Amino acid sequence: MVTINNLSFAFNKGELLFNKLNMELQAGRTYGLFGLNGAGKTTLLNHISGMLYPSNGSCIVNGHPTRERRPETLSDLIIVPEQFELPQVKPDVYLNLHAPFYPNFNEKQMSELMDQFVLDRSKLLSKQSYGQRKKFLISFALAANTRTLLMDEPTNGLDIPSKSKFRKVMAATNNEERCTVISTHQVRDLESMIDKVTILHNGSIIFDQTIESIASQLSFQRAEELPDSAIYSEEVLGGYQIISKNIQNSQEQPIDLELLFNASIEATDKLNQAFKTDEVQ
Amino acid sequence: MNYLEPTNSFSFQRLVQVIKRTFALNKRSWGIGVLAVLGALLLFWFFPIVFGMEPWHQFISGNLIQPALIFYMIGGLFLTSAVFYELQSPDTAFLTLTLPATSFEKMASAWLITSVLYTIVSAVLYLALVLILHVFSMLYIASDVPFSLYQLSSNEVGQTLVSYFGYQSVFLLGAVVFRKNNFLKTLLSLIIFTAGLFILLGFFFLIFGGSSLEGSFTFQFSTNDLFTTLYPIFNILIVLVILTISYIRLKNKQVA
Repeated sequence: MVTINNLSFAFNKGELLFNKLNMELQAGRTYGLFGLNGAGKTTLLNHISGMLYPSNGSCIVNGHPTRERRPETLSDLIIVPEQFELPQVKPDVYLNLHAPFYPNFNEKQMSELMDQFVLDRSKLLSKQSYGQRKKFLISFALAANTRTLLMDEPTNGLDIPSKSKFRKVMAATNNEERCTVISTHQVRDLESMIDKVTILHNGSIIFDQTIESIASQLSFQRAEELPDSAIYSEEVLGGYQIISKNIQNSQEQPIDLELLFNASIEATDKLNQAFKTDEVQ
Repeated sequence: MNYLEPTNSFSFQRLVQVIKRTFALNKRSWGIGVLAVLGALLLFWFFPIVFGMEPWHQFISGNLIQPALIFYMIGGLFLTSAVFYELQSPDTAFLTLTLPATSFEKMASAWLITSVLYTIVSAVLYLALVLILHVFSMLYIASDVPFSLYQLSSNEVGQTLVSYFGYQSVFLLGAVVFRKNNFLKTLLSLIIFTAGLFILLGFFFLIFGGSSLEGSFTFQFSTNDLFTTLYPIFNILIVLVILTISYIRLKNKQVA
């Protein structure tokens, strides 16, 4: 669905942000793209959407390089940027102007999503709050029913009820044909909807595992004493938050994405080793 | 809702939709611009009458053609400079860059709007204004005011149109290339380019046209017929080259 081949990119000459990055995104999955500030999450989404061109390598969506910006590719791909402005028109006008470009756009679905997000149809989009505009753009992106959906910090600016509604509508509109990539810092907002965790660091993917694999290979615990088997730990009030190898293959435990993210940055090799050992066995 | 076929080749329907989109998103600012120009033209027409500066027949509505042509030129170049305003900010660039239409359709719509459609709308508005002022003149100033569109088909109008289509292509390139203050930056580039060209031509004539300025004038005079014949073709070629460069720049435009 989305293939990134040896992608290299630099904003400034000599300062490579990505150096021969490779990635394969499949339909029917929701990818959580995590990384520190400046790791290149937004840049990667801009490459996938064809808004940036690689210095070397390629980014291919549905068999075509996105830098060609073919209408066929663009009508099956949509991006919800983190920072954006919408034109000085009412929601209905925006729909009339943009929806015709997306052949799978569902007006009824759009109307339902707007109702669920309690969006104001009478007010100019440019006059609405950031959160309202974001909810409108999310609704539009979901109603467009494109096979590739890219979201950059979708929950930024949303109030607490809206975050919950966002999770619900994402779950309700999920389908086997869609490949969703969500880039975020708000790992706790989205942990229930992600089925693959991809962590970008210093222009490389340092961790890339499915939720099933993480749940079966790692154990997330809280303990008073720090065990030797811990892959990564963080001191908390009254003990430690620990990630260790799930040796007994015991029942799946809830994944602490925040802890996993910190582990991937601080103990990259140790964390990945836990998966490699299993692959060898 | 009528959905557009996502074909990768040129689609006329999609071009129309891109034009509709550009109009709808800009109609407020363009509307304000039109009202401002119409207001200014009214002032041009009205002030001399009020202050009795000239006999009334000097102010027949057709006399507005000269200020109208100036406004047409400046307004059009401003409009052209801002036609890709979405590309000028990373917050809005995604709207244009990820719009499922070809770069050719996006460029064609921008050119059609800021050249052909703009000229037609300007002419219609000018005619409407002239008619309204004529009726007003007959009712309130003198019943025998002669109706005149005044040289609407004159050489001056033709030359302005030709000049506009030439400069417009340069400002369209500026609209794609520059990120901020597109109008001023394009104007500055144009001035620098023209000055550079004159200096180069000066050197050229000094080297090849003889040792004095007289030589250069002789050269120009002797080639006058050829120059007159080739000039329009040369102009069209230049416009086509600039439009092609603009298209290539748009095709390669990335988020700011």
